[in-house]
Amino acid sequence: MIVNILKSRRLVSELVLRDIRNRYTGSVLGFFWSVLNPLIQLALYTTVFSIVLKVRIGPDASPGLFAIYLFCGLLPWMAIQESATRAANCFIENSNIIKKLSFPLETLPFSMAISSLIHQVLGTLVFLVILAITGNAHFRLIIIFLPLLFSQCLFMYGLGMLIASIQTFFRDVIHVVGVAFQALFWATPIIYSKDKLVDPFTTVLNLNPFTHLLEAYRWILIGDPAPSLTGILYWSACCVIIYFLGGIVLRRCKPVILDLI
Amino acid sequence: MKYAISAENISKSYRLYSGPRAMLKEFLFNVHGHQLYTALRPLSFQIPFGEAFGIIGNNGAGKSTLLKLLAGTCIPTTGSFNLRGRIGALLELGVGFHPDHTGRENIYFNGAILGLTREEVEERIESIIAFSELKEFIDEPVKTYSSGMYLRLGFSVATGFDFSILIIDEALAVGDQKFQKKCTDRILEFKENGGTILFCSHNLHQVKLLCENALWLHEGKSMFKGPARETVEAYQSFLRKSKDQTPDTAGKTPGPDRQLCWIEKLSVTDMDGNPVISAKSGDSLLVEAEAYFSPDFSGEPGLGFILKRSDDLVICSLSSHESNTPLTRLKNNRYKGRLVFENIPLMDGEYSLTAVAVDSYAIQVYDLSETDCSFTVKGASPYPGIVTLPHRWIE
Repeated sequence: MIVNILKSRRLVSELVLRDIRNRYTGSVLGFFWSVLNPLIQLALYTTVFSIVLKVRIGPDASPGLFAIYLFCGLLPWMAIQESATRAANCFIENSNIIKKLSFPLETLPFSMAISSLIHQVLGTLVFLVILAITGNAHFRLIIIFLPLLFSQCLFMYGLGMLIASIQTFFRDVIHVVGVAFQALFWATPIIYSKDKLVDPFTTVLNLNPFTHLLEAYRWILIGDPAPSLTGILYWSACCVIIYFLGGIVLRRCKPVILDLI
Repeated sequence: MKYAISAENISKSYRLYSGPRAMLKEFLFNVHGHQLYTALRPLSFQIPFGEAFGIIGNNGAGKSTLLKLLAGTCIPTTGSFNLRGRIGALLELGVGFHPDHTGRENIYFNGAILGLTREEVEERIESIIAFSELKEFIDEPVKTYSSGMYLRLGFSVATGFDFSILIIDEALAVGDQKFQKKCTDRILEFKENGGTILFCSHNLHQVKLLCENALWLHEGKSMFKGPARETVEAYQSFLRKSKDQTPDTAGKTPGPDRQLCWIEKLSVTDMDGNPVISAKSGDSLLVEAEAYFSPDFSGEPGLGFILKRSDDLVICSLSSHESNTPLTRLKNNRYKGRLVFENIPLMDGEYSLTAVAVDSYAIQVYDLSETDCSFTVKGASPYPGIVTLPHRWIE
């Protein structure tokens, strides 16, 4: 799987380039939207949660802190959700090239994952600039950002292969994915904090691998307490399992996928 | 011996489901829910380096399936195959072009799908653009192209890189006539430089000209494999025969009045009197027929000959009356007519000769010979056609 990707890295880079280009063809601001988008979102969250609703986090929190907390979790969450939703139809949408040209199928979900990650990284860069300006930056641990990103890439790639394979057989999958991610959004501490919850709910949150990913991001970006080691191991195990599961399912389904699309 | 393409028992069958529910049921509960459709029965063949191999057959014969299997866009149900070299597939031109991106960007993308590095694409891109004749349009979005420009770019990309095997489905040449010539030249040049070609076409003439060997597929089965000319011949004679089975055999029922006269003998021989089964273009043929004309037959007895191709296309009809040649009178009211076809200009094919008994106006046909004399002709040139008309080239 990874070997095939390495072999066709040229194709992957072209696919990613094409995907990014597609988003901005015909727009005046072009690539600038990738920067503008997170800025506007952050501004909106600050206005709604910190100024209108006056949500505070921690005892001595400043008004902007909740928006920052929220945004920090939202960036990886949106990348995962986006790549999963878009990967669902990646074989079907590219059926014309799949049917007529021979190339490794896994490059499609992989390039979806990469393209989503690129936007997450851009958003994070904007976010870091704002953190630096507002004096909330914690750049000591920034080096951990890369392994986190890598684990997330593995997860998104595996999930993409899995979803895209099954979607070819049953077009219901994309609807299931949509509903599942809505449920997961509330089962992940994105717009609330884990320490405000009591026991049965904390267990649910701890079982959700995304909880630990977000904790890790908040640890290195906004200086939240470090996540537990078991949590990090749990998340890593989930990434590896999803990656292999997706790879195996795609390999098993490949002959039929080529016939079906 | 090493082959460019070798296939061992490759076959392809599809599972047809009535819908996703049947598929899910079968997957979860192992309930049989599909019909098996065999597109290609097990097939083995080898194609040496530098050879052009044709695939012919009716629609739905499995030709495209075979090409798709070899191009790697679908996976064989059984068997295996091996391709040595970089494969270029012209299954459909301009596949994967993104309408919003420029021609140049699309060339890079296509190169990446083919597994080429950026340097390899850069090395060839100028020649690809030059071949496509798109000039400054190459930096315009593909959606602004005319369909001709689109196909031209598609062809240029599909043949523009260093391939050693080309898989071509029909599209040997595209665009206007001038560009078509360029395309054909490029394919021929590719072949001359030692490239291997797998060529599937309905244009039997092109298959005969381009390919050394060919395969005839019918309903997923290999019917004939051999030198291209023989394969095409076998396929063509099959086509004609299947046409004969259509209901227009009605004309063959013995309708004419057999009381007055009938054909008794008909033979086609060479000039020495040996029966002819196959002839070469340029041979001379002697045709002889004997007929009985009863004393009641009023008027001058006459004989006619009808030369047909085996698909019932009449090539020529001749009668003794028309050329004012009286028949030779034998005893017992038998008459004999003889005719020489000198240097027959016929092309490849199966032909048959029928004798008819006619009266002086050749309006009424009194009898048709019951058995045709048929023979095959081996043409002097592989070009399509029925006859080579007398002609000369002028400087």
